[in-house]
Amino acid sequence: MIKRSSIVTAGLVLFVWLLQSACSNEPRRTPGREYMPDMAHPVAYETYLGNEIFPDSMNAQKPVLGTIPIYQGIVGNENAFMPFHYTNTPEGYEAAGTDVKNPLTITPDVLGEGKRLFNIYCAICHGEDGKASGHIVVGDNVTSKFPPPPSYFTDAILALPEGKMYFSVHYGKNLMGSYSTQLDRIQIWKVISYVRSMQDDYRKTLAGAPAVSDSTKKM
Amino acid sequence: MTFYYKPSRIAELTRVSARLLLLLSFIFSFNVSVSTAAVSVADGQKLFANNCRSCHTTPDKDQVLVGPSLKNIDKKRSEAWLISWIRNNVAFRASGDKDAIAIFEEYKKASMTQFLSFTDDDIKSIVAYINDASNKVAVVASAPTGGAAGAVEESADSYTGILWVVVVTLAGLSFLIFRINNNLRRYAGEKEGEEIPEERPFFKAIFSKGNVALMLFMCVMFLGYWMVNEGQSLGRSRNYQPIQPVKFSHKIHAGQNQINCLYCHSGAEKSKVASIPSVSVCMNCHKAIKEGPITGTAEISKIYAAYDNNQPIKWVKVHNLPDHVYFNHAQHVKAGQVACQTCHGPIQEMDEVKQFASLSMGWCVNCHRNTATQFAQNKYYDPLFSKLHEELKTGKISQVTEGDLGGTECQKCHY
Repeated sequence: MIKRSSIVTAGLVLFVWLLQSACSNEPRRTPGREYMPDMAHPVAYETYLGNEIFPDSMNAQKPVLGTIPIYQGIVGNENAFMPFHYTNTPEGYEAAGTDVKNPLTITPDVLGEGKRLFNIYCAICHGEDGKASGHIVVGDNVTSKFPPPPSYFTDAILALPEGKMYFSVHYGKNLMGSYSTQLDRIQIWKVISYVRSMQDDYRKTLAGAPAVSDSTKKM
Repeated sequence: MTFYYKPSRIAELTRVSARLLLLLSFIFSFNVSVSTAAVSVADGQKLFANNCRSCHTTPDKDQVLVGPSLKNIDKKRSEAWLISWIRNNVAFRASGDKDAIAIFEEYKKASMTQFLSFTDDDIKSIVAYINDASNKVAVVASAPTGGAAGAVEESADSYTGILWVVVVTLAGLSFLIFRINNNLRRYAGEKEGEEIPEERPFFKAIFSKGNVALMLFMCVMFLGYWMVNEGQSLGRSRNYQPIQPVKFSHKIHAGQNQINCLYCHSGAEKSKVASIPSVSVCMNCHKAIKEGPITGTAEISKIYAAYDNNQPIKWVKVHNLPDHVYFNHAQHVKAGQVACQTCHGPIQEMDEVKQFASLSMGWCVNCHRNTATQFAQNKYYDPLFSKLHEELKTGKISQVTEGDLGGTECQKCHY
């Protein structure tokens, strides 16, 4: 017969061990064990997992050359992935400036969505007011600050045609990177519509109060 | 003959030299004030910050951003050259200046902005500022923040340790006091001639039948609880915190720098997956930010390596939902207006990402039952659920949850 004391001692040891393991602070580096993982693991290839069929072993592939993906079911976004035919050269920049025009009709909805997108993707540098006051440019506890972009209300940017704006968002300009992977064509135009409305408001305040208009260059 | 200065003579000498000094300093100050009337370092600094800083780093550094570093540019080029270049580099290149064409070729024919409205004094001010700033030693700003954070963690750890020691000591002490008290009472009783029940040995008392039964019962209960818990968590990975190939910190990016989640995970409102940002998205900022506050250049250089080799970074997937469950980010982020933190926890405070929620079915269904659907400023639901809208308006129901919209049907997620 097993001694009662040994049972109790074993119980106590187990208890203490479990308590100790429950309170451990070590980060959990393994996903853990599974029990009968039927249908838990994908048979099809998942979005970002590897795929040995393709030469670069990536599952995320570019669309087949010459095809254009469409947004299914979203009204107004059918042409979101239409190609941009201007090359990333100074000549392409100039050509886009004269040829490319905003296809959207400016409505409060467009400006509202433009503002939302602007505050997510642009305001971090350009600032919600468009004066290069973004958090990673001037923020308090930002350790490595980003160089400030030009304010939207300098003479050069006020005179910038919208085609050049689109070109700059699509390809990137100077230190600004390309946003064509984050924003589709329609979204970029919504953002530009909002930026233009900010500039229009600025021009209106200038016309209303001419005293402020001296030397926008130095602002 | 003895030679000495009389006190009066010394006084006179001082007076004269003082006057001379005054005169000299006056002339000098006059000179300086004349030269700074139009050209000033302060003006130059302002102009530089507003017009040049977007593409050129501050002149105390050697880093190349879009354009070259301008450190000591005033020693490399003549003032006249700089004036022509800055005001209209296109015309200057057209005039056939060799240096101008060479620098244009070196920077892949990216044309610098023309500053036609700058006066000579404006440009001279900028050059004066560059000269001034180039000679200042760059202030090393990288404080050892990592060490401080480590110290905080360490002290928290040792605090828990001390707590345990205190608890164990107190428990031992109380046991001792209990025993002493017991013995004293026994002796006192003996003296007064009370009838004393026979003392059972301590261990016998502990391992009495009743106690053992109770302990066994508690052990079974505890083991049962533990087994059910562990059994349930089989295949679930709450708190899973894999080691990532790059020590990317959400705390720095989303917390301190306040970059919106959607900036990098822009797919979250458009597609099933939240999208892991490609290296080109990293480069949007890291083109210019080459040093981090904790790891310096070690981790950021991994991005550059990936970018240069055109190879994606192999991030380790943290949240693994079983294949028999359908989950769509856009459905939750865009239509449902659910904040990222609802499921992913305080991600802006995590240096290393870990799985916050259990991702169990009970967890999903609880949220579907309890969360009121966001109808305000959310046109997604307008045409679909007019009947529920009416009931809301008339006060028949107080809120609509995802469950009311069919969010607890099996086939919504399992098909």
